[in-house]
Amino acid sequence: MDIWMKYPNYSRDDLRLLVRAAAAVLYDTAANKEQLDAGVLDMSRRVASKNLARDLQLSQIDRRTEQIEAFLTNERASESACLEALAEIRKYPELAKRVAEAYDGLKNRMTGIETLLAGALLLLAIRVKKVTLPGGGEVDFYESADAVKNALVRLT
Amino acid sequence: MRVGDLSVGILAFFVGQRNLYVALCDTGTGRTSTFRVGACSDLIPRIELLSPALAGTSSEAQTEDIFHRFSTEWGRHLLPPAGSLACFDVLVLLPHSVMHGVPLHAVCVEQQCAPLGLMRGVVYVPSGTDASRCASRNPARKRGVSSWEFSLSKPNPRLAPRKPSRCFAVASDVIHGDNQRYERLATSIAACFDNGVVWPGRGRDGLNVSLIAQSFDSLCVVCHGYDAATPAKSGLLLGPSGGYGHRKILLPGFGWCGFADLPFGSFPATVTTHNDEQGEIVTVEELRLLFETHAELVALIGCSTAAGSLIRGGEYVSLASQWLGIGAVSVLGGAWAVDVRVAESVVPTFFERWLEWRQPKAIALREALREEVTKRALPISHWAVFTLLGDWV
Repeated sequence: MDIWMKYPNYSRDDLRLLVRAAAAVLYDTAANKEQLDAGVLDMSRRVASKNLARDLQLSQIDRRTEQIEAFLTNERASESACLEALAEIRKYPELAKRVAEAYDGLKNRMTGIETLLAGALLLLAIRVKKVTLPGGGEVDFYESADAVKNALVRLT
Repeated sequence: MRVGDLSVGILAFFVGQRNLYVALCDTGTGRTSTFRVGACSDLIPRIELLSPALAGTSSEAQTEDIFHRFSTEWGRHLLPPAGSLACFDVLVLLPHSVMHGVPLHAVCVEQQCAPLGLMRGVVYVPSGTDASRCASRNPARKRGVSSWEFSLSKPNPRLAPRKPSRCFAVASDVIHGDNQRYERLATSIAACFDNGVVWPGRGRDGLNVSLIAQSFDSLCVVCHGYDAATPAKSGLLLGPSGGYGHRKILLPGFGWCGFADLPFGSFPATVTTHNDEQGEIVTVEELRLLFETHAELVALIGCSTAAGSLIRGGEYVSLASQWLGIGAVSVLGGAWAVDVRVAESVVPTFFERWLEWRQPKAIALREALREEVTKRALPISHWAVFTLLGDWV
């Protein structure tokens, strides 16, 4: 069954895998990949918070790094934000399909995902403006940045 | 093909302060050549580039890019010239320092050439001492292997040593709860043996393994691996937890007594189980203290079971190397994240080649990987993850 059919009722393991898959796909397919941090999937919570605070500041939203870090530490709050970012991805069927494939790949790995990569997903959802899919299709993703920023503001 | 006719080379690495050296010993002639393969200042930063792919922190495209560059571009700078390796059927690699964990079997030694692990039998041994210990405890070598004949194309062995017959297989998917799938893989492996037992992954697996492993020719564990920041805490994730475990201990003056014991280590708090129940972990340190085995092969089919870390004194600690330390002749493990779909195909083929065709283990793994890569175009990270340690026979 497609993982998107379950949205938003995911087990903790499923959500961690899906968030990891979504973040990896956004990074791999980003048209502006060279402007992104290559280590974004391995970024510490502190560094991700700093980057998110900076991005919000560019949109005239005042949030301190500590505020965002506290939010990312709160698993329930960061899960809600991740679900909102995933909802944005879900709007684009081609992109969603690619994320579902990546999720299946991760599910077949004989390892678990130990942390929710909320910081990475939110950062990528804000910074990736356009994605280029392997088949040649392109998806404009810039509108999603505002939705994710709004979710962050609401939840922090 | 006779085992005695196989040409075996030992590649012993030495990381100096300024340069990386490798000694290549031809076990047939006893001739040893030493090569300076490069400057540490150049090679060590490159080796560090592999870290995200090995640790699974890079994206899928990044991972394949890292492995592709390593395999086809700079990886060959870690090895002696291609010509010096051409005559060997089997390579025994003895890494040193930062060379531990570097998947040299994924390297194409020449341009337009297949990776080493698909061309030759490749086995890693943590140290020279381990190499001689593993070989000396191998029952297959007891009567000599020079006349042992095997075929690469059909199961027609002659004068092969006794086939290992008893296998104990454990299967447990504590994270995703797909126990049946893992059990199927364990069952297909156990079925290669005349006496294969599958433990279905419930109850006190960890301690049961410790009780039973001593009397089996082969032990196979299909589960999730856990690569901890502290290497001794890395382990095999099994379960669910059954509370106290019972094992036998030898009390001087009393003989063997039953002993109820708590699990050695706690299940990692960051790992979520599919049903929210506590699982169990069999850690490296538990193996070190409580386990002993005489298995000819321990197959640890799970992520990062062959991955490890250097600790003080230059010792490389991994689950796989710890199994060698407690008596296993050889260990088949995953050097990073194993895809269960690939494991389902490669691992039973490897066991079939080893047990039915009676190919030496390193050749059996090469053949199983070759068959898999020929069948479907697999990314390097999917096939090169399977790593053989210990004795190659």
